[in-house]
Amino acid sequence: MSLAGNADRLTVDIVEKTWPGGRQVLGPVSFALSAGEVVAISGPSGCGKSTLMSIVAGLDAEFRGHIRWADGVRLGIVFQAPRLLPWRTATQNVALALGGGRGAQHRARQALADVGLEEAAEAYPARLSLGMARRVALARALVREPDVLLLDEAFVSLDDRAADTVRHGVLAAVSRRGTSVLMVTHDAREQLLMADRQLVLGGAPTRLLAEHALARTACQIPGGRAISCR
Amino acid sequence: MTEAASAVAVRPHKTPRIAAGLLWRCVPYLLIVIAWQAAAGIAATPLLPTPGAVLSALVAETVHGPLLHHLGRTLSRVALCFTLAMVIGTVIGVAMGTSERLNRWLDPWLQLFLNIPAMVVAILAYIWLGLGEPAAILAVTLSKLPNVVVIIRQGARQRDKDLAEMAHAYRFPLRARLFDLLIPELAPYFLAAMRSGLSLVWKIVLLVELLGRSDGIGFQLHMYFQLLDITHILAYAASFMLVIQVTEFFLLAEIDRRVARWQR
Repeated sequence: MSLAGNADRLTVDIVEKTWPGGRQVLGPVSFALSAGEVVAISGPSGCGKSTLMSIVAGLDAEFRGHIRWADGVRLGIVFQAPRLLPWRTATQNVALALGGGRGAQHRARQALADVGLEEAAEAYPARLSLGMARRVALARALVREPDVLLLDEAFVSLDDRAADTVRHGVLAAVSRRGTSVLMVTHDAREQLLMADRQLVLGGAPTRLLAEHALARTACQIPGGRAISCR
Repeated sequence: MTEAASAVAVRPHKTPRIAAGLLWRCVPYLLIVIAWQAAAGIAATPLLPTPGAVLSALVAETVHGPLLHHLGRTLSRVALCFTLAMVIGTVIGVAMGTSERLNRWLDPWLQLFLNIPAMVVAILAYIWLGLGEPAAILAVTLSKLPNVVVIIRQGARQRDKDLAEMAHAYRFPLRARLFDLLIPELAPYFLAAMRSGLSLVWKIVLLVELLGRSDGIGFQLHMYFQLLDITHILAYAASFMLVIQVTEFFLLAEIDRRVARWQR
């Protein structure tokens, strides 16, 4: 069920993040994510974008600052590597994100079809190409109908068609459910296509350097709000 | 060996895979039996009976003698000790592989038990607990336990942190964490522990039976040793090795196949 209202779903207020060795990787980074908003994070390689995503996802608690989630927010996450369970089929991997309840398998198959993978539903990850595995990971994130979707370079190594299918899936969730998206991406075209706002990270230690409003250029189609061009 | 292999290969569609595997497995044993027969023929002494003599003793002991009773006793001890060592060893191994602090505390104990000979454990157990079944079970389980702990601890240390994070981010329920993550991840280590465990446990069970039980294959071996009856010693040993081989082939190979199913 979608969360009502336009209040911030996620508020990030990081003061600093230091590695155990003493190297400070993140300085002040503060921003908020509201319902239905797509925010792109960019910055040089190794500047700590994935660390920031880990902190936001609650996987790294060793930092100074606060992450505040609105009540009842459901999270979907696509990591830089697909992180699929190698001993479970694509369908089983996706169904696990639903907690394995009744009808999970059916919904998982539907989610795989949505990212163009119905023929790979019963395949084990070792049989999938990296691009296919990434799409399974995205299906796993989308099947939960997340309120907030975290994407860590989720479209890398996808061919144009597959990347389009996946963008379409994400933007459909944004328009249908008002899913908020926080995405790390190096691809300027992708940012223009999908994002409402761009956060630029940089400096040493990494901090929020700039924030730009973007007009999502993805096409309008009848019935939905925003779907990718082509 | 090659003739047998090509005989199998000629009719692959008719011969089920399991039968072909069994045939392959039999060839080396056949060679051992041939070598044994030749050696017994050359030596011509009661100290080395022929395979035929051992086989007839084996059949006679099975049909008319107490072999099945003793085999059953030994097998039930093996099964109990094996299960206990695997379950307790897995719990301790996962705990030690996950928590460095616990590992620091328990590692000296592990080293101690790894290096105590099974015979010493058995003797001490019999002295402290008396010549009974509990002492025998304890002695065997304690002798196998450290081996399981070491293998499973290694598996727990090699666990994929990325997958653990994913399970955390997706709020996997406990059941899924156990059956979809931990157990499949540890399966190869579990299988290695089972393999080495099965062969280790039955050897120690025989030793413990020899030292202080009044039934089981170990007890019978001890009795025939005192009678210097090599034919019966070999018959009893062969019966047990046969059972272990069959278990290994059907049970462990099947588990192996299931574990490897998802691999490329």
